[in-house]
Amino acid sequence: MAIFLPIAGISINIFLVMGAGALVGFLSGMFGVGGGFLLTPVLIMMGIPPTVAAASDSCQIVAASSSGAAAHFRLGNVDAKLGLILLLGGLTGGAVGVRIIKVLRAMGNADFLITVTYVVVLGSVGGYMFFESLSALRRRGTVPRKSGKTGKPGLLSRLPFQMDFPTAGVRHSVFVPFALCMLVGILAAIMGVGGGFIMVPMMVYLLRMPMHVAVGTDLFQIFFTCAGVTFMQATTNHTVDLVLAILLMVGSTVGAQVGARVGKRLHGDQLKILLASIVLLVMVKMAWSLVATPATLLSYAKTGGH
Amino acid sequence: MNARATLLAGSLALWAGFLGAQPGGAPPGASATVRPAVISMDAFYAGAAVEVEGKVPAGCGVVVVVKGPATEETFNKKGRFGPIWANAGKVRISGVPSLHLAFSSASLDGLLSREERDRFQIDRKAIESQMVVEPSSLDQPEVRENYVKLKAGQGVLRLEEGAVRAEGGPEGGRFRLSFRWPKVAPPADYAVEVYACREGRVAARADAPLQVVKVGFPEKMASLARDKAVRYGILCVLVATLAGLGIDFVASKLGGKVSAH
Repeated sequence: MAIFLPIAGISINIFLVMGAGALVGFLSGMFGVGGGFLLTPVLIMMGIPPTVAAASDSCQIVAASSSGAAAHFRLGNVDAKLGLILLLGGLTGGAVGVRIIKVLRAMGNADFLITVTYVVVLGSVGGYMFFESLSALRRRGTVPRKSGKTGKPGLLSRLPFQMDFPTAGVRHSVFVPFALCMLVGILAAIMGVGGGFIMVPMMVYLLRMPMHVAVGTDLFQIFFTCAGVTFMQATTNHTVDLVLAILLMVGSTVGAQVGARVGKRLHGDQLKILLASIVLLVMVKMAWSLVATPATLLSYAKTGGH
Repeated sequence: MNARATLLAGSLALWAGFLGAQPGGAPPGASATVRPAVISMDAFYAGAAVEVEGKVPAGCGVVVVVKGPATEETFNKKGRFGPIWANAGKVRISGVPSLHLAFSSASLDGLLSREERDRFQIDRKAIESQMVVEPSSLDQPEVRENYVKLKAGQGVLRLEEGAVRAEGGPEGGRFRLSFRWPKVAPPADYAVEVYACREGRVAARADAPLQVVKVGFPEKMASLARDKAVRYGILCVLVATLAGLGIDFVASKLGGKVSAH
């Protein structure tokens, strides 16, 4: 069954689009990642113009993240106070990252540096997460495992504006999540993604948040980021296809609900291993694309992502 | 009065000459009708069946080319740096139609010479040689070949030899072509060009327009997005948020409450 997309200007199979949305929504609900790094290329492969694919993807992430965040909120997995600080840090970092990428592009061959950044960041984050979770799973049952509050280096605990984040069960200076999120924002802008798959590991390993709270809080901040991007894309570039976004939403919101529930049934370390595997797979794909002879030497110039 | 009549006659002659002129300088003598002349893209549009028929001088082969408006696109061009493939820069490609579908009554090689195919931009090689690649430092044959390969993969550049049915007759030949309009082709004004071919040259040519337009709901949405962008942007965010919360509400009612860890 086909439907005509008014802004993309093409006709497309309804179930194909909804299926792609469901897959990405599932990942979003389960791991707190936006899924744009996966969905935008899939939409482009379906024949949707890249600008419309990226902008409409933002719009559907608003739905997926609101659905996922609401589900996690009911489960007590959203630390709104920390989420707002992360959001501010991420937005600031994003703005800095956009400036950096502009300078890199002016210097030439920025795209190569972007791909290498991808491989290094994804490889480090995914590899660390994978092996740490694997050893934690092996320890389970033999050594009781602490979660939440853990020891912090003395310097960090002496920083001003210390604040309790009761839902996350951690205490940090406001500057710590802000600075870390700013760093993720810079990396996300350079890599052209929303940064969920860097943000969640960062919250777990550096802010010492429980995995489920990290996922819920990340979805909370993704909602605001993508709502802003959607509005700006619609008013500036006129590239948001609401019909396409609604079809993706139908799939992704259902997928996000299923993902949140499946995620809840899994142990935090199992969830981390799955996310690490996806991150490592993307890293391997990126690394392979660096050395494999491409099918075509031309690809549409990238215009955005999440 | 005489001067005015002369001026009028001169103007009419000029207009007649202008309207009767054949693009590309080919002689007249062919006719073409496209059905439907307008393809309407409504909410459930899924491509359309198109028929082209008409007359060509007796003994001529027929080539029908459907061309979209000229397009300009920017691509990343990959290059090899040691063992690594990376983007080597951006290339802007222009001077090519957004869509190019060619159909012929026989093998194109047998119908038209290379020069004629280039002159009327009839096949892939013609497109490849006539496209404008910028910057010139990246204007390499492999860029042109890869562009054509990419577009062919998308279905907006294709050649079907033997798809046109041509029948001879005492007053000339009739031809008929049926094809499926590609649903990926965007709304635009397309041109259907019919070439009557004899001895490797274009003996006659006829053109017919084919319009693809948005109608109904798609047109209303497109004009809202274009003309009332702020309202459309707010609508997009609201619809997405409410859809997400609505699905969550329904899911929580259907699935029951799930306790937190």
